[in-house]
Amino acid sequence: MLTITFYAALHYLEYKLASDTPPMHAQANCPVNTSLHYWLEDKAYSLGNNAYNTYRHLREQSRIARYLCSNGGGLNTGGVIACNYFRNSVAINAIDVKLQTFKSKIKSIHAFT
Amino acid sequence: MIYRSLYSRDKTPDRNNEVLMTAWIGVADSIERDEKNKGVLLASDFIHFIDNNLVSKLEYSLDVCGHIKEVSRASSDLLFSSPSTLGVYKPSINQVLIEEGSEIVTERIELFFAQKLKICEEVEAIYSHKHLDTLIFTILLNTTEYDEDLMEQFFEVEYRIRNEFIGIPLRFNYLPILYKDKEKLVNPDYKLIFDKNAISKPSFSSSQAQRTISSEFETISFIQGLDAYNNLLRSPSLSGI
Repeated sequence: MLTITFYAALHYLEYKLASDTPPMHAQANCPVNTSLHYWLEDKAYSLGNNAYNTYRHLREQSRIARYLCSNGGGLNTGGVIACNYFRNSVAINAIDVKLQTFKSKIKSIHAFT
Repeated sequence: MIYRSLYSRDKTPDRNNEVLMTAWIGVADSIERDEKNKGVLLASDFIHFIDNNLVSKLEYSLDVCGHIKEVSRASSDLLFSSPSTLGVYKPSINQVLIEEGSEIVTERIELFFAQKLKICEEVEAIYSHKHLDTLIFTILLNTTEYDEDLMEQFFEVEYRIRNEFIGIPLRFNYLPILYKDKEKLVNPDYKLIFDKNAISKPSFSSSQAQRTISSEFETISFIQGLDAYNNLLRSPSLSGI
């Protein structure tokens, strides 16, 4: 769920970039040797503190969840797995508050229906 | 896996971009709706935004985990290859300047970051390494659940550092893991810039940043010791001495 929520935010951000002048797209504009995710993170930073903060929450939650789902890549995570590490309230907050906050920010820049 | 191919009859860049903007919203909305529908994503949900607006050879696959994967990068490059609309990436002036004096700036950032985060009990260790011109921090957290307030603080610090050092590519990765595993987790080439368990040990190694942080810890310990000594002198039990 956290992964899905993050990717929704990512595509709202892609929408914003495609709406900009000149239009941008991570696959096309991200410099060689730079991760697409990192490049998008820089774009989220340009949206201001609140949007950056929200995007970073969603990204880290997604990344950590995946990391814990894969059993820490064989590392000792102290028996902690994703569904234990994230409370239900965190997941609900991610989609009901954080994603909506980020979406509103994007909408305020480039309105969409 | 739901798979959808999109083909365009209209090849103009402006038209393609307009369709693409619609597509991104469609994808994002579909993912969001998918989550609210508890994992059920209908093809009709995904297709509503393409209808008659067909994008030039842009192909995506959407797997059930919600990952969007572009399966035809080459075709996407075609769509975005118009230099008149997209421009070409060039390093900013700031990035060039930083390359000239990278060592000093890098250590300033490391020190700044370590000073901000070391006050958090959950931060076990902070490592940094450079990849090309990017400074990447790896932060090991001794946490057993995601603490939104704590992470909020970290992201605030990130934002401040980005503001302070505009133009420097900075990355931050947070890993919740037991301390004893850090050797397996962290590449030996990474530079340790903060280690909570090493505060009492004045034996930091190599770099200037480590020495600076180390000496700061020693100063803090000294001041704390001095305060404790002064308090002891002021205590009633010793006042008669």
